[in-house]
Amino acid sequence: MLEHLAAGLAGSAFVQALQEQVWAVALIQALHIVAIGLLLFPAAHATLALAGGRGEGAFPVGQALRWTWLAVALLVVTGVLTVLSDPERTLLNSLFQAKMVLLVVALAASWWIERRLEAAEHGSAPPRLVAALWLVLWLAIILCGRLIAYFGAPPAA
Amino acid sequence: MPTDPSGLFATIEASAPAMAIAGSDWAFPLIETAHVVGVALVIGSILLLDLALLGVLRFPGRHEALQNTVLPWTWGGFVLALLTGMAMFASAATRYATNIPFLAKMALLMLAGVNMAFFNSHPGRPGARRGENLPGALRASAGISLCAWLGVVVTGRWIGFV
Repeated sequence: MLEHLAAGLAGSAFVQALQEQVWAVALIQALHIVAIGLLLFPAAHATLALAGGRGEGAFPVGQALRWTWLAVALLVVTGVLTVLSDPERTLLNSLFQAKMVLLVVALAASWWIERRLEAAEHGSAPPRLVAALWLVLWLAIILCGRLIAYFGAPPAA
Repeated sequence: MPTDPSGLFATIEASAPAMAIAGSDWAFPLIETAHVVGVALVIGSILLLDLALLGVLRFPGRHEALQNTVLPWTWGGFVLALLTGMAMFASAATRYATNIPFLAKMALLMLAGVNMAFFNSHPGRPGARRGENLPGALRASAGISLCAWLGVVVTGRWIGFV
């Protein structure tokens, strides 16, 4: 099914036009990296404040968590465009598929941590372990993303 | 144009660590991933500071407090990006030395460094005196910083496309 989707997308006019604009693909990927920064920095800061005992300083944890959602929005847009720039190389890659699974888990953790933080006024802050694992998840997602370019391609038919 | 007259880049490329990176399937992708993490921390933290200086983002407290919270991440990310960047450069030094996006990236890094030195030596920098309004020269400096670092990411990603 995924094979049909990838092949169908690869044959579409938009995808073929995008593939011809190498500068646009490079720019989209650069924006994806900027968006990774907009996610990773607040996430790392929030994790250290929640789990590492470093104070939140002048960047409140709640604000940092809200930033990560904005970053996710930009990541999804630039990520979808990156997939469209080469659907068969991305959708069928096992590291890409692993990345998407990890992404769903990380987003669920983001949501849960925010809910727990809202309830923290009653003394139930998010567990430190969950906050630490949440950051590790994002790092694993970055790792999978970069490795798609090198590994995980399906065996040639 | 001779790009390596002293043979320095060829010597770097032939060193044992550089050969080990170039000869391994896994070394370069893993170092590159660590580079992305370092770059991400730099760009994420610097954008926040510059946008705060320009008044686009608002944070509680004085700007110095925000700097104290954010800059350790910027420097930590920068050191990680620098070390991993040097390792990647060494693995194919003669090739990078003639790569136009790589050279543009180095030029933008220098611009960002000079701009930061200007900002930090300016008598009107945040914390040097009281007052809400940032002098125009420092606002311009924050704008240059924003553009230079975005340019570093764009040219950096471009290296792999030529």
